[in-house]
Amino acid sequence: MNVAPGQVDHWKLIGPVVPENLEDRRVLDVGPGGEDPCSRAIRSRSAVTVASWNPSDERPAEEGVFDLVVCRDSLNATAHPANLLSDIWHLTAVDGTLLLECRVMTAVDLSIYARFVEAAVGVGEAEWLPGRLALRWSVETSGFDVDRWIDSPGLEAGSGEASAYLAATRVARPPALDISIPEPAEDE
Amino acid sequence: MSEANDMNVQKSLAEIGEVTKRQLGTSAPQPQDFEEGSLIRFSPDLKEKLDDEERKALSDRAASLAPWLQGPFLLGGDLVVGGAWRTDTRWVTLGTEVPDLTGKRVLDVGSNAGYDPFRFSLLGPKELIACEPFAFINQMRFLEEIYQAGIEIRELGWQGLDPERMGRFDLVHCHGVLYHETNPVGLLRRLYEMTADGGLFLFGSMMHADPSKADLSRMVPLAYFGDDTWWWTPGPTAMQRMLESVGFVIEKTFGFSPGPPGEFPTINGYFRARRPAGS
Repeated sequence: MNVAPGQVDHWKLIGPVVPENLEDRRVLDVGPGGEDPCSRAIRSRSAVTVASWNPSDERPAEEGVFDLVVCRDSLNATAHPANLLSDIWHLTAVDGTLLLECRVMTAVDLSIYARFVEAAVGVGEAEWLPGRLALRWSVETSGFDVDRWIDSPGLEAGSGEASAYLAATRVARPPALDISIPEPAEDE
Repeated sequence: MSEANDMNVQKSLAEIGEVTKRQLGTSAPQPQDFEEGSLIRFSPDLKEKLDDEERKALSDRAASLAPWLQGPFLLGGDLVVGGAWRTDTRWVTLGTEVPDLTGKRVLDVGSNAGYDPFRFSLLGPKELIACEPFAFINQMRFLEEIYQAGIEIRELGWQGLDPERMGRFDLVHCHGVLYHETNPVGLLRRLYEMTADGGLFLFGSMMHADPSKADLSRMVPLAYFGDDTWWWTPGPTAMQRMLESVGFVIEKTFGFSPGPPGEFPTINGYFRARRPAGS
């Protein structure tokens, strides 16, 4: 699979987890848009439906229909990660699978921490960079059960920052952080 | 208030009461000890004495709005409401940072029962808007009926703030909101938009107290001190950088004190910041 300059081949790690034959599955391809090895590979596996969504665009109207969601290069790029995970929960069918890539801080003692960095100030491209536990907790409080981490050599390299990959199952439990603000009273 | 609204208020207050019970062992905390002379009179027309009937009526209404977290609020005579928090102690330092507000527009976000806006009202603002999206707003409305402080109370979360419709403000104050917020950067961006050029922003939050991780934010799995609405706590440096990243210029920090005795050490503190003139 060709990888364009500057692209990361997430498919190398995600691909082996995806069934070879997706012909009875509806797949949502979540990423920043454009062609990458993930998009090309997903399309080659004969799914019933392959929909693409760039999270900077409006959320697709489909509710709870996708059996498999592959999301990469997205969660770090939002200052509101809980909102993106909640959107994915709404789009995914109960018992559907989420395969998620997210860059994380690799140090063990930073596992429960996260860093908010506004990309607009020119510090990298990430707006949100979690530790591994913070990422797992964010996914779990967004209505998914984490099944397992997908082995990633970058996590062991000690570079301070690397892509982590996990597989999770969408459950009926709604996102716990979906705090609704009451509608103003009619007299206001 | 409609019957349905009234039921919603009671349900919301009951839920808050449950959290309060987990934290303090009671869902109706009594006013903490205070020195009588330290009570602020939020209205010059507050009665020096209440007859038994008036006292009972006010007391019953206040009890129906429990649990009270902010306080103390003097309602007249010797009747005081307000429970879990001594909000007045926060004002020992906050009060020295608030300028004369004569002729100014002031916005308070996350007002709870309104202790902060009632304090601002004593400093002569031309316009004072207090926003609270949750059931505590009923406590603030009850107090405003008594104090007639001229506060414009809006049932509004920060997401509903609109500089086009509401204009911008000379002073924006927000305390105790950020760590409950799943979109903290969005909150700060919006508060920046609501602040006038050269305007003052007084921002208070709980923060984690680990100095070695001060530039990071700590996620809060499940709950903190029995309160499951905590999502994360920034370190002081992380807080500073987030404020700067949305455009504020920080002038100083103040009012740092220990937070609740939860699962890890926290501190409560303020940032005094300004939106640059001409920005």
